Amino acid sequence: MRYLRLTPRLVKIIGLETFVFATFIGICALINAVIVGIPPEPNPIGIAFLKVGISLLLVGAWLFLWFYLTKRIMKSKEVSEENKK
Amino acid sequence: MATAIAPIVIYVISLLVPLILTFVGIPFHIKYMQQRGIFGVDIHKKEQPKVAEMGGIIVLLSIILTSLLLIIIIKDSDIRLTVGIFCITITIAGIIGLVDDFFRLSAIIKPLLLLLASIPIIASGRYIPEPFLPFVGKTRLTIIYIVLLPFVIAVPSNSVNMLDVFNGSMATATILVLFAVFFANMIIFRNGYSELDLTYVFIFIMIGTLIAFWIFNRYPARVFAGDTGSLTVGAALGAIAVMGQLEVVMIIAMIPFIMNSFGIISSVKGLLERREMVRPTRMTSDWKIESTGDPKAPITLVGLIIKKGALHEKDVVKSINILTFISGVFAIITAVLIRIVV
Repeated sequence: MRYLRLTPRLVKIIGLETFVFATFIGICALINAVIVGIPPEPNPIGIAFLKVGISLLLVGAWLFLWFYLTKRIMKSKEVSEENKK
Repeated sequence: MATAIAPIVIYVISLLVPLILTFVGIPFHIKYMQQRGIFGVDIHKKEQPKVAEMGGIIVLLSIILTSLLLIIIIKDSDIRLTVGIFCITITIAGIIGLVDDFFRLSAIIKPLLLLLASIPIIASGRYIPEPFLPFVGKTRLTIIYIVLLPFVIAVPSNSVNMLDVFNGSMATATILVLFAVFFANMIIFRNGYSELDLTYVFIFIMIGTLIAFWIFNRYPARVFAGDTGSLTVGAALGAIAVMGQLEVVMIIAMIPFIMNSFGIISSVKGLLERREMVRPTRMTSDWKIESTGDPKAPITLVGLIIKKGALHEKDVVKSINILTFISGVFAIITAVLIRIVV
């Protein structure tokens, strides 16, 4: 089967890939717009830790969302197969 | 960084030497393994052929020999050390794979041991704890980076291992990832040919050896990579990400691999070896791959691909390639977004 004929079968997975990528870029834009702009005063070290902490939380949330959606899409397969039975 | 030999020559050597070594070495390996009776049955074929196992040994040896050759011909001691560290890192992963191929490590022990593969990089300080993020540019993580670094090696290794299930799937998908990372490196760092960039060297070594390996591993496979091969290749991807400051780009390029791992881990609720899981696929009467529909079976990327109907093995591999190609394009877009601010 040719690559172009296979692609329509993969729409859902490609959609998930695109969503994962888009949310990651969105989080980076958010970090750039909000977190990077936080002034370092009055406690530069504390603020730096806070910035890294919030950024890591956002990246962690992204990873969890990715995990959840992958699980959800894959689970829907099981449900549809059980319904068939 | 000054070297006695022109960088372009080093790049050519990095690509051609592992390619030739693997291309020449694999037929001997196949013959040796068949004589010793070390083979796996290719269950996705009607004839159920016996295919030589552990082709990854030749991949690993090609990388080691090429690294040694580079260490000999490059005069700069700093570059030599970096090449050596790359080689040691993936050799550790390869040895863990070899032990697993022979003695079958548990699903918990294997990833734990893979965490050790990052020790040479941490000990030698061959990393910059400043990963690049799109829009943000360079970030500074220091302590957190060292904590996360072992996972940057162990996660790709396991992810590649989990997707190495069909003829040629591991080789083609990782070649696509490497091409994406190659272009991303070019975009982010804009290095010309006048100075040696070791990230290109490592990418060329991997592409060279994987192209030669693919020739023997493509449908119908004459050799399987085994855990030796998949863990070696996965660790190399991780090492390239860390040593080339391409962590984020690598994660994006490897989305299908990570998605597959997420699915398996979430569905079996933990880490299990392939042989301990219920088979998620079976063969149809016309030798296509279809889902077993067993609720106890792990949910895999392949399961999603064949959701709309049974597919031939070659088409499943093509589907994995389509998904990896798209994630590769996303990785290149990520590089462009990083470049805007760097």
